[in-house]
Amino acid sequence: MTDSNLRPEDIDKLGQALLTLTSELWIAKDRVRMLEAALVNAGVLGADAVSLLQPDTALLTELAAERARLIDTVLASLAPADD
Amino acid sequence: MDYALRQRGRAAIDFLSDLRSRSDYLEQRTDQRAFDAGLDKAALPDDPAQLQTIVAPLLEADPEFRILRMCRDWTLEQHGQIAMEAFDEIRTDIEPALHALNSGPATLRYASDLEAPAYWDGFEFHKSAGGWEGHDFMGFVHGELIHRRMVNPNFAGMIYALRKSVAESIPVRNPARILEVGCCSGQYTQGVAEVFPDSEIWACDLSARQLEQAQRYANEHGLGWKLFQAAGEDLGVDDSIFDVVTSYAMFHELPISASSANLREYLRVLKPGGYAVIGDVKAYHAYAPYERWKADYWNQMHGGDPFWREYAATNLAQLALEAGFAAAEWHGMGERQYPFVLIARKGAAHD
Repeated sequence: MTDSNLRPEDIDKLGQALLTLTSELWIAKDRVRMLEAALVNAGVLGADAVSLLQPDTALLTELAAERARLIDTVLASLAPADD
Repeated sequence: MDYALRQRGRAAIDFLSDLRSRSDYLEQRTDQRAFDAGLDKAALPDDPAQLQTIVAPLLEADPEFRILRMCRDWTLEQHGQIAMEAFDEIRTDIEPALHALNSGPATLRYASDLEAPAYWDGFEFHKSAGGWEGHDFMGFVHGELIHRRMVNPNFAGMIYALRKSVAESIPVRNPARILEVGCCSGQYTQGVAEVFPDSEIWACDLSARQLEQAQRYANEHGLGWKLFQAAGEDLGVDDSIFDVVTSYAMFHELPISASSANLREYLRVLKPGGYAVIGDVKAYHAYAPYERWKADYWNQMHGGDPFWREYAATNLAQLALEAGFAAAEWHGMGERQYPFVLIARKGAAHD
């Protein structure tokens, strides 16, 4: 039995997953920052409004679907369907 | 009580919970690949240690299995920290309400001279950072943020129903007084109280922080639970005062020597004819060997549950009879045989 999850031959897949994750993360960070700036500039939101916002059921459902897509994308890089 | 997480804590908890469930497909896929490669389920031995030496190397040679294990390791090692950080974001919002719930009909008696058993003291069960006591609101962190928001979704939302189903299997009509041992933050206690609303409910645990959360829940719902800090092996209460002693998901956290000591202590505090009803994870004999390997691998070997195998491979009915119960049966509930329930009866005076 081995104690290590990743072995040298897994490193390329790890790199793929890391880049996929970084790309998704940046898209999300960029979007959030742009949205917050636009809304604060328009006087719609205070600086803490996003942090304090509680999502309703529809938004929770949308977030769950997006989150699933993100996780599936990363997992697909680590374990491709036709590997 | 109502509370709302901040965006960061909520999103981190949602991500962890979804990573756990959405990586499960790798388990089915690597199972199938092992069978395709010639793993013969029918030829596997019964013994869990032997199963580890035969099956684990085959699966661990599969890179996708190692990815699966990496995902599960990450969720185990991060969940406690993520939950504590999520709490700390809202601490100032909810701390007054949590303090207010210290008052009400439920009582909590701390042990002044508690000698914590070695299997419990400082151990982080399930690799949960902080263990049961590592945060001043660890009861809320564990009961609300970890169990309700992280664990429950991975049991298809059934975790509370499973607990309640054990309470419903208690074969005593209108028990006057019930003791729950190892009540933690009071989640099974809730099920017991729902099934037996007219009974006097006592509940104990080693963890002061978890008992405090149980007290808050009871006070919020107007329940006069009598909570006290004690080990199941040394309850510190009078003989023959309970109609039922019950627990849920505690015995698999104990070495068998402590399970035996618990059962002997339950016998002491039960009235003649009273019942011990112990719900816990599935016994190994109820699994086919390959499924038994999986339960052993993910819990005993990698789940932060060092006594899982000892519990699951022991005949609990026999253990209860050896402890002095007059009759005992141990069986799985429902089609999935989950959870397993020990029902043991103390002899009546005329037995």
